[in-house]
Amino acid sequence: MNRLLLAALGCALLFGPALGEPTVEATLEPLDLEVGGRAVLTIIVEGGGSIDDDLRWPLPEGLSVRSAGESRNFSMVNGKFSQSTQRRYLVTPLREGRYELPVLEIHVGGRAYRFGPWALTARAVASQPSPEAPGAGPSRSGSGAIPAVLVEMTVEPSQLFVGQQAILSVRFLQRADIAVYDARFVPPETEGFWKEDLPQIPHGVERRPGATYEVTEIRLALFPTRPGRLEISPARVRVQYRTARRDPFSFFGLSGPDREEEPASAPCIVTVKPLPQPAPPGFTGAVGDYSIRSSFDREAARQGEPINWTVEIRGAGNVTALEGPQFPEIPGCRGLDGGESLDRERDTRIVGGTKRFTRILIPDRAGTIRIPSIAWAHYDPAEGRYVASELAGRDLVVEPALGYADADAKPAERLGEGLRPIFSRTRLHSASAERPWSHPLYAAGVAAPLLALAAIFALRRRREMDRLDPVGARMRAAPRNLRRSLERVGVEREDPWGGLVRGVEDYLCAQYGPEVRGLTRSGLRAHLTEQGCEREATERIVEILEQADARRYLPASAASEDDLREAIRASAESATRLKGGRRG
Amino acid sequence: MARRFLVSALAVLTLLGSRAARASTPADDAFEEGNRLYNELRYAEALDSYRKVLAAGKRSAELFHNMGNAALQSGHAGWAVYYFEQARRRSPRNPDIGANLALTRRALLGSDPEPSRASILHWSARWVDTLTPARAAMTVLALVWLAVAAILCRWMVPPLEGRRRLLGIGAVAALALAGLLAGMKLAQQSLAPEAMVVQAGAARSEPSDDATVEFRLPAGSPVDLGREDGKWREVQVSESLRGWMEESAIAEFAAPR
Repeated sequence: MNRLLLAALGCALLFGPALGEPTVEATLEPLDLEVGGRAVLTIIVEGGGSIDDDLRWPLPEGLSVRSAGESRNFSMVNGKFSQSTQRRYLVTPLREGRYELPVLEIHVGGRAYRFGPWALTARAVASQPSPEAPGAGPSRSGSGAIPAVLVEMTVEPSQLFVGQQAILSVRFLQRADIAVYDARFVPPETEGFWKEDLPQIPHGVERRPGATYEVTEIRLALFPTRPGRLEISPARVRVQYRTARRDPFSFFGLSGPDREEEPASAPCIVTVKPLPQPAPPGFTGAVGDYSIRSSFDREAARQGEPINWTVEIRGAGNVTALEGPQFPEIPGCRGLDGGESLDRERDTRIVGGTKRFTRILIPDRAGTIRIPSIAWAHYDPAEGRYVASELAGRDLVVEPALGYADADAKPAERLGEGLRPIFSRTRLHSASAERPWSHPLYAAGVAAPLLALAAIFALRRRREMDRLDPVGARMRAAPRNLRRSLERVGVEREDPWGGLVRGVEDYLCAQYGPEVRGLTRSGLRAHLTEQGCEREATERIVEILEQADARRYLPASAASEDDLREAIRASAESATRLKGGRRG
Repeated sequence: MARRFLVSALAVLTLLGSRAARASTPADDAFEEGNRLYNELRYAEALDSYRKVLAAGKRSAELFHNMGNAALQSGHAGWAVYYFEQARRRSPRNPDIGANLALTRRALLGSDPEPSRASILHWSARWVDTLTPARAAMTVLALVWLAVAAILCRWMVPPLEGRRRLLGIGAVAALALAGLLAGMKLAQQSLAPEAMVVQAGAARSEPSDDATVEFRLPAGSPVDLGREDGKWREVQVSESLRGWMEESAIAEFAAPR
């Protein structure tokens, strides 16, 4: 695709000129100008074809013509290529008068085109006191008495202070009747100076006795960096030129011999004085005319958030090398270098601008942080004294930090937007009411039903067991029944011994079968022994029963309360010891 | 005669009971005073008055909600979140409290994130979250009683197979639900943050003003508490974020102030 495009472009360039007739135009403007001014002859060829070099334009005396170059333009619109060639010439009248310029004949593609004639009027230069004398034309200007090129250099002022601005001006004068086709400027050496370029001075014309010169001026701003007698070496220009000669058959008549020169200026001496001593506090070497101010990028600060503190120095002087004030350390605040920026302002005589020094402050704590004042001074050579300035201190109110978003800093009314209203009524309660589980009743409330349930369950189970095993139930109940019976015997007044016998017999019946009740005491002994009861306990229980029988049936036998209590105790003890012979 | 006496006695008791119910306490008066001051836009004074209610040992969700409003209007957003959270814990389903809490959280934190710790048990946790601890405790109690009653009924009703089985299932379900609810609420309580940062500040590596600042916590940040050392309290945001903050910048949920 690219190849195809290139091929198409090549064909168009190759055959384009043959596709149609070229259009040729030539204009000369302005036709009314001052001596030394420039009228521009513009030749434009549209549609292809080139201008032949053998132009013929016999010019009258007093005019200088130089080529200003040629440009070509190619374009493609809707797939169609077009080409235009533009050539420009500068026509300069060297003296006052009216010039009749003949018809200009241009040859393009072998065909002649004619333009003109023109009438050119050259007026005297307003600043010049008198027109140039006749005969001071270019043909004579190349003579040895009038130099073709000159270089001049001046420094202003030649006496100054360290850091004060001086202007170095280098002027290159080129006689109007020569054509310079190569010029190389060799700048002077300015050791001991800080150098800044100044904007270029527009070209001018200057008349000197015997010739008119075109002037090109270069200006530099110099700032001496040390005191003493400093020398600026000569400025040089290595130039090649050709003198104009009247030759109507040559190319615009510029067919003179080539010359080469290297004119040089005289050196300049500058006397640099040191700055007066002592310098005031805050002086960092600034010389010029300055003003200083400081600012913060925000009015409200917050803990942990950076604040930009900018000190701005504005004025005329060497702002590039300007040093700012010394930022102080601030308690409770971290300080970081925020860099500096420079906006240069300059005209053809003064260098200046605005330089900003930024300090980033990060408050470490909330509260009021005091920003101290800053002293800064500069030396004003125009006034011949130091000028001290002071940036006033201020209090910086730092609010507590926020996390994810700013909240505490928001005005309350903004935070309160959309807030639901307060409750007008409530039922207040104590803290314990919020923790019912910590109240003893709560534990009881949970445990009681569960315990009751467990108890009921156990009771039901016991009943069920008793229902299925009545003998076992009686055996399990026997000790309790015996204990109750013996307790009753203790308080019984009527037949306590009989109660004792019934209680013990009930126990033995429950434990060892109902047949116990019909046995004699001897038979009881044998039965219990047969049941495997402990012998000693068996003997003891039988002995108690026999003792009780004696008390019941032999009223004559005396028995005390102590005997009864001993019998009750022994019965209870012996009954429990009979366990070995229980029935399964 | 006896009937007349009985009626008279009942009337007197009713009158005394109604008077006792209407009698206002100093805490009630302080609450009313706080509301009055709030409506007069004297928010800081209203907050002080509400705090008197707390000092009297009384509290309620509405009280904390009003305290949150007063704190927010007086410019203490950190305290406002704390009070709204206290109110939400006491009345989780109140839309006004939820709205104000969300509003303040958005203002403070830029968003109103649902705490991840509260959604561990997903939807059931959400349901449990809507119950206050007191209500959960009473629900557990009621479920226990219900289960016991069902078991008793099962024992006492005629031995019809269908009813007994239904009562048995009901009793087991009630007991299981009671246990589950109690367990989840306990777990939720143990996972809930213990305190909140009410004033943004730095957490330091040691309990000292000269110690290194480990991290900074904004107001409204929930934290768990650790050791105490003078005016310092150890706070923990996560396993890796531990530090010491001044106790005045922290408010415990268990001991509202």
